[in-house]
Amino acid sequence: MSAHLLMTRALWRRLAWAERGRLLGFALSLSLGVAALAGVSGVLRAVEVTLYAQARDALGGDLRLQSWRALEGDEWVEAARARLEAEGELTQVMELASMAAVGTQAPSLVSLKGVSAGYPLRGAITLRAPAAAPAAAPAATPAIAPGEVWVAASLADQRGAGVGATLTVAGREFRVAGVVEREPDGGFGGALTFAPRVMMRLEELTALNLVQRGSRARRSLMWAQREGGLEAEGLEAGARDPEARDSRARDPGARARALRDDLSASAPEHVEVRSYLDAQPSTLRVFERVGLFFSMIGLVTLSLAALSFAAGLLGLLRDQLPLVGALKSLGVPHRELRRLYTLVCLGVGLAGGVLGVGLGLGLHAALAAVAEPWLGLPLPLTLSPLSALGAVALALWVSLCVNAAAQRALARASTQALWRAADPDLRLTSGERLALGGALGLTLWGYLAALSGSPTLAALFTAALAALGALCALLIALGLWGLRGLERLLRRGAGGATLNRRAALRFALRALLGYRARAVAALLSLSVGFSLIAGLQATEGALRAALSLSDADAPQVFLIDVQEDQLAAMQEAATAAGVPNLEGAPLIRGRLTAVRGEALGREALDDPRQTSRERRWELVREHNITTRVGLGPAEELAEGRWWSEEEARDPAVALLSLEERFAARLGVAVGDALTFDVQGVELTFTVASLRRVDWLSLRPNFQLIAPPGVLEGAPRTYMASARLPSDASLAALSRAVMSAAPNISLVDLRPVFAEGRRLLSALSLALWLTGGLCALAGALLLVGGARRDYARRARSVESLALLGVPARRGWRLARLELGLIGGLSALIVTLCAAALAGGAARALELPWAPAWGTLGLWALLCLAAPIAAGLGRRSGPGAGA
Amino acid sequence: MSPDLPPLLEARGLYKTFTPPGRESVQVLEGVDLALRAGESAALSGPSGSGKSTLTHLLAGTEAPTAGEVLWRGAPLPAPHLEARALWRLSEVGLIFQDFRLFPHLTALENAALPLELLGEPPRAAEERAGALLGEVGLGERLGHRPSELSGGEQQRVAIARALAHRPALIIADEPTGNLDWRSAARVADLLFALPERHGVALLVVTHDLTLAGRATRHWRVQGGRLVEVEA
Repeated sequence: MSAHLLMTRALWRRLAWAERGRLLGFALSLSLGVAALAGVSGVLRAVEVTLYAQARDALGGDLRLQSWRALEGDEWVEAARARLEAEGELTQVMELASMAAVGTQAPSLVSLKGVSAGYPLRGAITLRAPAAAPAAAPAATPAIAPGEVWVAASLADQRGAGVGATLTVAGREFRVAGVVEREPDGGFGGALTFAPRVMMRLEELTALNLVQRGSRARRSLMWAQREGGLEAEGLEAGARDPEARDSRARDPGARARALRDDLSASAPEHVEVRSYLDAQPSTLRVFERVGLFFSMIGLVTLSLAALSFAAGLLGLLRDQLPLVGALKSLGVPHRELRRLYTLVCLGVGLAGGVLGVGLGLGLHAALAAVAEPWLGLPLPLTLSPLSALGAVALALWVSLCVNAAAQRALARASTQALWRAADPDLRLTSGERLALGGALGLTLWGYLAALSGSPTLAALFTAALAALGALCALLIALGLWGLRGLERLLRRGAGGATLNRRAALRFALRALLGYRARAVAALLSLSVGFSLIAGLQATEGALRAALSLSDADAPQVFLIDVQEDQLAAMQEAATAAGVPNLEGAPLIRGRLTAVRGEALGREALDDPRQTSRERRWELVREHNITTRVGLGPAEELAEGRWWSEEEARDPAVALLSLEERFAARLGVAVGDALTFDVQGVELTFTVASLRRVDWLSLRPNFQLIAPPGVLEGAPRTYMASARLPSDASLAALSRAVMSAAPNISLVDLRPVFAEGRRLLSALSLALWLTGGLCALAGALLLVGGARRDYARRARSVESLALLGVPARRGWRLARLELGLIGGLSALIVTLCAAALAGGAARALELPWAPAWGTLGLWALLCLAAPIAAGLGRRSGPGAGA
Repeated sequence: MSPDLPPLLEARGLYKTFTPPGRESVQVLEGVDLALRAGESAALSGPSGSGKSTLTHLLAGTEAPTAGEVLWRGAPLPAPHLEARALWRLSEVGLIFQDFRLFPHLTALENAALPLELLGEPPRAAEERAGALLGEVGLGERLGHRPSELSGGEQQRVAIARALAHRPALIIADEPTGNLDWRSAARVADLLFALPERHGVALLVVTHDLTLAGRATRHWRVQGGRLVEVEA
């Protein structure tokens, strides 16, 4: 073995192996940050993989033309149909909501789906196997027989609509012939679906005459390439970019894409063309945003872990200085020591990364267990070598950053200090701190940019994180400034008895302010993690409170699709069913054709540089306009003026009131002109006012309101709402609706509230799991700091005891110092959490009142944590003197 | 100093035995008698392990004797309560250590004023007295400096000022020059041995430096667990 290796081995044994416990602690701390990121990215990846793997099934075909209008008779649709038929197979589907009764039970809302032969063209419907037969997925979906329906498992389980039961829809009885366990194009949402599926033959659904003027029925024409023309797919699940995927030599999606592009270019406004390559883009976008938020929590955890590692490493270096000095005096070159510490850091990084990947799998499993029931998607636990390597690389990079900062500090320690084993100042300079912060910031940005694919979005999130850090730093600086003021105030005070409280407080204050860097580290470790968790909990509390308020006040049932001539009859039927005050709001459908007199050009709309995605959506979609004489109970005027009663009745007054955020998305202001095509008639309105709407009131609220006069005679439907005096009145109302007007859908909102609360619990649990790691990283930083400080405190107690302060009182002073840190962090956590929850409440438009109970609990925990961490060992020096 | 004055600090028949776990007992002190009067300076010397530090601990009340008693102004120390003895030390004794034992986060002024503050003196008054004492030991220009910004000799002078701040009757200095260079040691010794005369305190210096011990009015050598008075 060479002399060099022998020296390295000897140094490793003396400096690293002897401190393996501490080094393992650093690795554990680092692993928490890596675990938070790896766990979140694992779940995101699983979502992505599942979505892409099921892309074709999720569409039920390779291509889908979709419209809220009838497809028959449309010239463009007929031409497209002929073209598609030439290249593949076609099938047609119609979906709409309606009421249906199982046996003699009260009717409830269901989602009807009429399917024609061949459906689904891709994937298969999984029917529940009869009790006697073994459960096995059928190779191909059998056809639905005339007079029969297949129902969703929830309808069978909760309302007894099993095989053989009778289901009455629009006055016609059907026999339940199958229970659907899985519908390939059923969409996501799992338990959140409150209108269970009822599937029947398309011609039978059409014959029920449920679709009336203005009814919301979605028609789809589904197409699949013939098997001969379809190569084996080899679709690589997880490949992010469909375009890049298709550029490969074998191009399985080429035809579908070409058809999509071709048909989209000429499709009329009401027809949406989608291929399986667009698989769930909005779902993926939502997951990416949610994932980015969770990743941000992970990155905060990693930052705390890095701080903990850096502080711990500096402490280790400080402790090893006498040994380092001795080794140097024996002739060990400085570069050998530098190399050794770099190796140690890399070892910690590697161990932290590997441990983090393992812990991340655990977090992935926990998050998947929480999310799977809600998403209705399997989120398989897989370890991607690339992701694992990425996580380890991240840990190594953080270790190298920390090592660089520590080495700089060590290089600054004077040779004299090293040789005399004096206590050198190893604190990082402002420049070093800035460089370390910059490197970490760059890491955060790089990670988020890679995750989201958007450098701008990553920069926004990084800036938000930096702002949170700056807010914490500002509050800490302000807190310390306040404590300095208090200390000065105490200096001016009068004397008192021996060891009086004022003197004790001043001593504790001076200890805290004298070791400022340590106090800041302790405050930071508590503030960031605890603020995050407390803020999330307070936000959850505000959401729950808002839901409870809405629950107590809001309508409980909605009647949708009430025709004009049915309204009076419905109101009578409701009164007879014991549901008075059924309020109806007219819905007039219209599509924007011009803004401020300028016709909407399709080219400009399709160009993302000219029109944002949100604005495009608002410009091209169909809008519901309601009419009102006065403002509703859940809205207030934000800008402009409301119309008078005379104006409201005047057919010549074409005014419009817009919900303020809708107006902002559209980019219009008071005084602007908006032209709508109201079922074939062009009407130009002037925006008279902007309204602020309390959407959480769950009342029938609208983005667009016009005075009744101008839209008199326009074709309309009604949406009615009411509160229910009892459960019995719901059954009576359902029966009345079913018998009098089968086209009307009755939505019972109470299960929606219950589902909302349960979803909130699941989301909250997921946040707790991720945020918990963050708080744990903070706690480790705190405990590490407290352990390093213990010797200093014990010596201080010992010195005080020699001067004449009993040890018991000396420890009380140490507790007071730790209590001051706890108190200040409690204040900071309360303020930050309140700001975080207040900001979230504002963004979510929730009524906000600080949750003092929750915040107080976290404040108490903050107060107690440093005392518990700092006084964990009482048997050390100074304990007895 | 008058020999007719009653002793301020008196040790009568002090015995101290240590019994390390699993080992035989070690008799460190065997019937030590000692008396120290106000305005008197005394030195305790002896080789390492002779028991002089143990005797100092017993006299300062940080440890209790196995047998015998320590009297303060003729009355026994509040034994065996360590807390009461600590409070006695805070009001009556000033301690000076070889490693200074200054608080690193406090300035020279704050360190020197600390005992007075702990005794309940108004902070400003305490700092005024501490400032005056620091001026007396030649550190009037360095009041705002922290221990890490002072040399060893300067730190020991801050410790002397701190020991005097609360006007104690007795000052015990344990190896006060042990960590200092000869020039600083000489200055500290000058300051220490001037204290009995200038402040009327009794001074007990524990040292293995015979030159330093020789400057005291009385000099005891700890030998075989007993005190042997060394003639000047």
